[in-house]
Amino acid sequence: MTTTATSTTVAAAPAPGSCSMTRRDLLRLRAALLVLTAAVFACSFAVFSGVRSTVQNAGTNTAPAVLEVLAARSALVRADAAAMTSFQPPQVQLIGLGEQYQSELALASQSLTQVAEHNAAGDEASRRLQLVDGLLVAYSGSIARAEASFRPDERNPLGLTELWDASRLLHQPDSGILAQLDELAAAERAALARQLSTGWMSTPALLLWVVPIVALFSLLLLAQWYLRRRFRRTVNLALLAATVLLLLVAATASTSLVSQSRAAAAAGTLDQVSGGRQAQAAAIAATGRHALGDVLRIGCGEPLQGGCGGTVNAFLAGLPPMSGAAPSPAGPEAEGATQVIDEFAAAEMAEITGVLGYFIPLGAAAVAALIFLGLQSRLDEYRYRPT
Amino acid sequence: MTSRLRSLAAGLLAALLLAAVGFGTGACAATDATTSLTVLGPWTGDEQTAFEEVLRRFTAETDINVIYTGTRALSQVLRSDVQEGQPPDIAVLPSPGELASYVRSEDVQPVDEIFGELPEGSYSEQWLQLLRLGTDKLYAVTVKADLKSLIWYDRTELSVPPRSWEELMILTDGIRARGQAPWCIGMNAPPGSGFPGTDWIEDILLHQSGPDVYQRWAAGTVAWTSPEVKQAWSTWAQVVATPGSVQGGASAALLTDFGDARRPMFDPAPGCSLEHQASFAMAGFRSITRDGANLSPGEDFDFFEFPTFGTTPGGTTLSEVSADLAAMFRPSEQARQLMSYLAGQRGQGVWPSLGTAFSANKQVLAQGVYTDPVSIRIAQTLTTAETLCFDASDLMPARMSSAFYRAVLAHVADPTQLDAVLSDLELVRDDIRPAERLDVPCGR
Repeated sequence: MTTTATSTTVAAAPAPGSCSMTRRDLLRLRAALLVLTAAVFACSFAVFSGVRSTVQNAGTNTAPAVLEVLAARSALVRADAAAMTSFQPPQVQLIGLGEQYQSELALASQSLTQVAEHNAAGDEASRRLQLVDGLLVAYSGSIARAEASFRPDERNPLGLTELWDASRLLHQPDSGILAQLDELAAAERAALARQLSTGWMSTPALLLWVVPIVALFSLLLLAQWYLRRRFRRTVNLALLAATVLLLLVAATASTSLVSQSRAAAAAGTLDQVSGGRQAQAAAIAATGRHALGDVLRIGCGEPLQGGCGGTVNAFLAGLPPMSGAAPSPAGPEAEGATQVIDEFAAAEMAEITGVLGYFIPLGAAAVAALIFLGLQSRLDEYRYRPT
Repeated sequence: MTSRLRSLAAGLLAALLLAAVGFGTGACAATDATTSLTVLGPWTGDEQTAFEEVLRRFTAETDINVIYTGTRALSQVLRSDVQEGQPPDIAVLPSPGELASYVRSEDVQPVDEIFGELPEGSYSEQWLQLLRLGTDKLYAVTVKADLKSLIWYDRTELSVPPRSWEELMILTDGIRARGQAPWCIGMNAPPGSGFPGTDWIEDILLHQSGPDVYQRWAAGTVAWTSPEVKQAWSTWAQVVATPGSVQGGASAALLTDFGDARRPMFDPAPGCSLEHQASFAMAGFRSITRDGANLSPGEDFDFFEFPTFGTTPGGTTLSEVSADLAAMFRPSEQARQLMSYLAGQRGQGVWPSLGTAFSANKQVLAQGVYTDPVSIRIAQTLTTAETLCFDASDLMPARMSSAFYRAVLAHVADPTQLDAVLSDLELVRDDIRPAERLDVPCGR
């Protein structure tokens, strides 16, 4: 009678040829898993950090630059309307330009200084800012000279000339201060759009961290299936734990998608605030233009009586209708700006991303350790060859 | 297992590489930089398009890439770039006075050798003298030039233009007698309102008292209260202050845009008949329509030269000019090639061939790029006049020219205050240091 010794708990000694293949497979599997783990760490951490940094920059520089240009524009429109209204006699003789003109002009200046600090639209925007600064000096100089001329004589033609000059400096299509600010706002907004759609925020960047995670996840599942088949082990606890931890790392990295989505929504809010401000500014500007029209008619007479010449006659004929709505103060505009900044801050998720940022490297290190642990015991079984 | 692993690894590696390349390409595109010449200039809009055509043709000939930046804040931008040690390779300035300040601070390179390489006689001696900016070297190339000292009129309304100031006054008296205003005047041009009036005063002084007095006055060594200067202002008052000279009076003259002033000339009942304006006015005339068609130079509109006073020369022998001057801030072989191209016949001929500019280069005139008799006459005077003088306000320090502009407006508003206006100008002149003054001889 022949007895066959069998074992159900100890692996049978492998045949000489198959032993080296299995050990080699295990070594290669471990190497691939560890390489992919390194890729997951590098790519996920890079994209996570890059998105966080981009959203932070958008919220602290680019979006504020857009808002500050809009604030400067609104302030200038209010200053101009206040000045033109104050030139309606007898106001200028009694009270001069008034406090609102001075304070709004100062506000505009401050806003433009902040735009220069936060400019994200490059050299062309810097040059445009320089142009606006120079034109603003010319504008305020003309207003000051107009006041000096009008105080003794409300029909002083030199005062009319300076006032008309100032208005054209501000309102001239294509070349005026407001037109320059519109171009500047568009440039800063375009810079924000680029920031939120390129680099770390782009689709290739998304693939850069998703692909290694999917690859590692797939290979971990494949490894567990292989071990179960080859070594009749139902569950490799270490590799299972590595798989779960990988999913947590992926969840952490995916918070960058939430951040991106919130930043895009904040940009949408910025556009709504911008649209509202433009409409408000147009209403205020119309008030100022009509006040200027009144001053010109008093100074020169009606167009049919000769008036102030063809350019002024065309201006008077083209005055927009008055909306009748009282211009609102700057309060609601400031609230809109605060809302945009708050939304960008929420998109940054600073409170949790700071902590989560540590989890990716720590999690990846733990996944690597678990992979090493999960395969080492199998590799040890092939450490000593039968002689 | 092994082959399955390999396939899986290969596929995932490919996907990872694609993502990395896509990400890297975007990053690299943002930082790509090529070596190019940088040119800073004052032109934007249509003028920028025209100048970029000049540069495009240079690039096609030489393979040297040129990046042009146009800004209306040229003075501020160039000043800060130079102060930061980052000037453009070449800058184009509309003011010889401003360029002269950079010559004095040795920020600009002389270009004598470039002119030496041009065919003999490309530029008149008058232009070469102007381009020396009061020094013994050449520092600039005229990208385009304009002739001043012109009076435009409706060809269908005037058959024999006046030649002397007296004849001009008789003509305008006759127009007023018919109940029409003779002069198209618009001073408004923010932030340089008043410049049309300064052009008037300069032309009157130049033709009334001669280029020597004109040059010394531009250099700041003739008082604003001197008899010659006061006479020029008083002479201008015959134009602008005589009742009925300008439709709508002083207010209309002050508030009308300089580009709108000529339009009433072609109304069915003309609102004015004559306009004193530089050759760049041609573009404005061409844009006006009459009977549904654009005005034609030589048939609908024409010019006559600024009239003479007594025995002082005029006509095509004496004229005021302005020019956009290109200067080299960073010397290099490529920059010299561009300057040479801009000075030469091919570079000078591009913009005039588009119909909106004039060249000081004689070979461009011979090239036949000007296609109408008015443009040909302008180019002939530009290139062959016996005496050419830069616009005086372009040579003055900035605060002197600003005061000049405002003084012109004040004079139109109230011609009875001339003495006070001139005294105020004299106070500004007194405050200017000799080192700020620029003495650029007329080209003769």
